[in-house]
Amino acid sequence: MRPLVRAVGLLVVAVLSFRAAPAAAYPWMVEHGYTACAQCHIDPSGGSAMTDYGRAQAEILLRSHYGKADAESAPGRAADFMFGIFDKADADRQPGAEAAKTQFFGQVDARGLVIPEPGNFRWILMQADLRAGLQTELFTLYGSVGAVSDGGEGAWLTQNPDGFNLVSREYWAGITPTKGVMIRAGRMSLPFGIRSEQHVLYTRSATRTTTNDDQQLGLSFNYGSRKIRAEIMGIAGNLQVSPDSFRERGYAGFLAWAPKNRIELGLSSQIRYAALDVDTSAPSLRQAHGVFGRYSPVAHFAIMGEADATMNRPTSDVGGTTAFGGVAELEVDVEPVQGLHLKAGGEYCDNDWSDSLAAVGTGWGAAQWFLAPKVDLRVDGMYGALYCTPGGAAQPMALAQVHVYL
Amino acid sequence: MRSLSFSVLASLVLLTGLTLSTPAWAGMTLSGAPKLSFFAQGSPGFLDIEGVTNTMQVADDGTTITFTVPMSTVSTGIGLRDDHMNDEFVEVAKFPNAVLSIKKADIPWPVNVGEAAKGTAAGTFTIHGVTNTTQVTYTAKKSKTGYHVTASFPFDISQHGISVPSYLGITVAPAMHAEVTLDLASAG
Repeated sequence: MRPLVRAVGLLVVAVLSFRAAPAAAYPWMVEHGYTACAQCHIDPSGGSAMTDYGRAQAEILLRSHYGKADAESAPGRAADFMFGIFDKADADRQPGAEAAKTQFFGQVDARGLVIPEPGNFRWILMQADLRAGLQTELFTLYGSVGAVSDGGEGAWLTQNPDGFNLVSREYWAGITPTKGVMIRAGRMSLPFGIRSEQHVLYTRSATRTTTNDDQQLGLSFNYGSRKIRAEIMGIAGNLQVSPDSFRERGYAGFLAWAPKNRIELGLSSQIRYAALDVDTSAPSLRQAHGVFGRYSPVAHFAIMGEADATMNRPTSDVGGTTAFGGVAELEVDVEPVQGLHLKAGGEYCDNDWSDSLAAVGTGWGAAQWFLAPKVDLRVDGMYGALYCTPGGAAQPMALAQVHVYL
Repeated sequence: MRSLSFSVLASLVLLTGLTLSTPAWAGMTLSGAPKLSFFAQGSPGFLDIEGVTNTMQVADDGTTITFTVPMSTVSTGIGLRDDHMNDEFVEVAKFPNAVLSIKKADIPWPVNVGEAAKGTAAGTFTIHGVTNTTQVTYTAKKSKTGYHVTASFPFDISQHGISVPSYLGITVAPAMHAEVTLDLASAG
């Protein structure tokens, strides 16, 4: 029994170290009629710290109310940054109050895991980020700094391979020259596919677009209208990776169309080149182009999916061989009672269809419970391969995490 | 012969006219479950808000057809938002209903099953106790029992004395529109 417990514990560690995603972007909010992200997040493409409205929706829509009437679910101080110690006036929280011309956003996120392995009880700090933003009608400033005990190498500010590291996942400045447009410069999450809080899916890891540490420095143009979301980003590289030859340059972008507020269809594309790939230490040209969609046919139920074709050439030589592959995921989310989400999904990945290695897949189920103000628990059970490593053996895996924000 | 022919012709014209006009002037009633959606948009972020109800009353006095919706039945999918809408903005305790009225003669009701009439017609829309004119874009398709109707019309809540809704940095645009789908049965 003990070896089994130890094995499960190690798998949990592995899963958490490499598959957890600290951003809190919830693409299943389409089941509440939200296809766009900018109402609730400072980053107009989702994730990042929440706006005041987003904080309120986290209280009103996300968490369990245990039978309270709607009128009693008004968020009040419970939704505010640090429970309101830097409080706004009560009048500013009432419906009809005018929006402040200058808004400050602060958020502290902590996400971790306790591993109750007999004789080896321990915990992993996946995220301890302080995020802050300042926004006027014209300008937005945003950044985060924090610490991790495992993983997140791409966001490291320090270089401690055996313990805690300081990280900064995002820092950028934006200008909003006209309604619906934001031009940003700095380190940002890459605009590609479905941005999700989900344990890092093949679609995110294989395309190197996780919200954990795959952010890049660049210049981005973001557009939003009633039915269209789009962002295109020129990638200048990850300055937290050195030497410069490891930094990727290129572009990433998406275009999404939401004909109704419960459905969205999108296209994504990216091409990135590095003189030395971080995995292979060889020149590489990486491409991914795909489609994604989110649909909620009825309230409290959503189905989401993404499929991308990948083209990776491990050399810059004209005659280099390109590996054509594909990565896809399909998932459903149902909320049987407010605050409790049950999820299931499947993933597929094969980074080179021409080789003899079999594609890998993972099936997973999860329960996520927003049980109290600013607290949620999530438990995942998976069976498959940990990474997009064709030929890899399938195995059971587990993931449990607690997320608290202030 | 000539007078007989004229009489027959006049009778046919009169009969035809009566037959064609019957559907338009017969009393219409609601058939099945209607759907009415009010659409609004919040910013920043282009927040789409849809308030839906399946509760409606239809009255037909022969010249005007009136659609009445109890605003308390409109749901936006978020209970607290509904409370704000009802209590702070629409004030349903004082103004419980939204009402759309259209002159029946302004719509060329089709006669044959399967035929459809499309166009715009002037109407009046009342909400928050204030009535304004609006242009209703409609499609009325003749069915075996009456008409299948889809329609939409714009309105501006600031013209109806409703404060512009805002909440925690999101402001709702006063220009909104409504879409309705329903079946009408010809009672006559």
